[in-house]
Amino acid sequence: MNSGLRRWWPLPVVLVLIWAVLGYFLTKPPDFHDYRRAAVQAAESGYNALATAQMTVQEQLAGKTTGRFTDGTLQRSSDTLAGAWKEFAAATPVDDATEGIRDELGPLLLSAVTVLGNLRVAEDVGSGATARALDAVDPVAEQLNDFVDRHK
Amino acid sequence: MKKLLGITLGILTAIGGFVDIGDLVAGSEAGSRFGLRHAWVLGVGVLGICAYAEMAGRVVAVSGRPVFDLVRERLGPRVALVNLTASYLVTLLTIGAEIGGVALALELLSGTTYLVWLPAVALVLWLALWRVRFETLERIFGLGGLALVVFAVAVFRLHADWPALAGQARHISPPQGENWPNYWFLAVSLFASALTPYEVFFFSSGGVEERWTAKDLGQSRINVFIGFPLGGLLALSVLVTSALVFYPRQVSVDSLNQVALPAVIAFGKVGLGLAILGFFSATSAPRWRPACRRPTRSGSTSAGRGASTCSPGRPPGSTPCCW
Repeated sequence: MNSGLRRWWPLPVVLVLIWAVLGYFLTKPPDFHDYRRAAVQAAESGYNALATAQMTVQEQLAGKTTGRFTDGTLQRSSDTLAGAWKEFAAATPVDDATEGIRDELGPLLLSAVTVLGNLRVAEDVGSGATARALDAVDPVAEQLNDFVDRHK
Repeated sequence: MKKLLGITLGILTAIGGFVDIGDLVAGSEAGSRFGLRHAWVLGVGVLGICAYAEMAGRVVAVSGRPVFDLVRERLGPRVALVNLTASYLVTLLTIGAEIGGVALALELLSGTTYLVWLPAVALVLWLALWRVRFETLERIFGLGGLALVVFAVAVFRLHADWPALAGQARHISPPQGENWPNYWFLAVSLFASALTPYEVFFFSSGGVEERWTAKDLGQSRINVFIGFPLGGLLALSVLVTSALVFYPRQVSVDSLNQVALPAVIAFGKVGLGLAILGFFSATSAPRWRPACRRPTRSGSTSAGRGASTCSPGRPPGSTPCCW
C-alpha cells in the first residue's frame, strides 16, 4: 500500500462508525419517549391543520379571500391531518402509559378529521352552513392544543 | 438622469430579488414558532451577503475575472473542485425549491394542485431563460418581487405590539416548549436563505458579462449596501407578520398558503394578489441563472441570447465557470 492511500485509512473507519451509530438509532425498539414524541408531533400537526383552516375560513366569511385560496388551504390542511393520522397510527404503544396516550389522542384526531371534513362540505353549501361548521372546529383544536401542552 | 434611473432600478431589483423561497419558508416558520427570536440571524445574514457580494463585485471590477478563477489560482484545482461541486449541488437544490415555489404560487392562484404545474413551469421558465435577455428577466422578476412590500405594510396594519416584539427580539433563546436544536436548525436555515450562493454568482458573473471596470464599483456598492439591507427588511417583515399572526396562536407554518395568510388578514384579496405576485417573482427565472450557464467550446460560458463572453482572453479549456 503506498503512503498516499495509507493516509486515508481513517476515512472508511469513520464511515463504518457513522453507519453503525445511525443503524443503532434506526433499529432500536421504541420506548415511552419515542411514542410520546410521535404522539405530540401528530397532535401538533392536527392542531396546525385545524387552526389554519379556521383562520382561512374566517377570512373567507369576512369576504377577504377567494374561494380558490380557501379550497387550496383546506385541501392542504386535510393532507396535513391525514399525514398526522398516518404517523400516529404507525406508532405502537409500548406500555400502559403509552396506551393511555393512544386512547386519548386517537379519538381527538378522528374528531379533527370529522370537523375538517364537515367544514369542507359546508364551504360548498353556503356561508350559514360554513359558520356552523366553523363553530365545531374550535373545541377540537383547543383539545389538541391542550394535549400538546400537557405532553410536550 | 439615465445613470440615476439605472441606480434606482439596480437598488429596486436588489431589494425585490433578495427574498427567495428560502426566506419565505424559513422566515415564516421561524416567526410562527419562535416569534422574533431569530431576527438577529437575518442581520448577520445580510451583513454576510453584503460583504461577500461587494468583494465579488470588486474582484471582477478590478481584475476582470470571476471569483472562482481566483479560488482556483490561489488554492489549487482540488480545493476549487470541492468548491465547484458544493456550489453546483446547492444551486441544484435551489432550482428544485424554486420550481416548486413557482408551482405552489400558481396553485394559490388557480386552486389546481402544484403537481400539475411543475412540468409547465419548468418548460416555460426554461424557454424564458433561453429566449429572453437576462437583464430583462432580472428587472421584471426583481421588480415583481417588490410586491412583497405588502408584508412590510401589513406589519403596521396588523397592529403590532412593538414592546412585545422588541422583547422577543432581545431573547436569543428558544421559548418555552421549544428546544435548542430546533432553534439552531432554523437559525442556520434563515442564515443560509440570506446568504445563498446564487446571489454572489449574480454579482460575479454579471460583472464579467457586463465587463465592469473600477468605474462601476460605485454603482455595485450602492446596489449591495442599499439594496440588500432593504431586501433584508422585506425578509424581516415576512418573519414579523408570521410572528404576529401565528406565534400567539401557537400555529406552526409549513405551507405557502399559510405564508400568505398575514397579507390576507391585513389587506384581504388585494393582499392575497400581491403576496402571490411576490411569491411568483421571488421564485422565478433570475434565481435559475447560475445553473443555466453552459460551457462553450472555447471555455467561455453562454447564458442565452445577448450574453457576452466570459473572461475574455482566457485560454481554451480553462474552467468553464463565471463566478
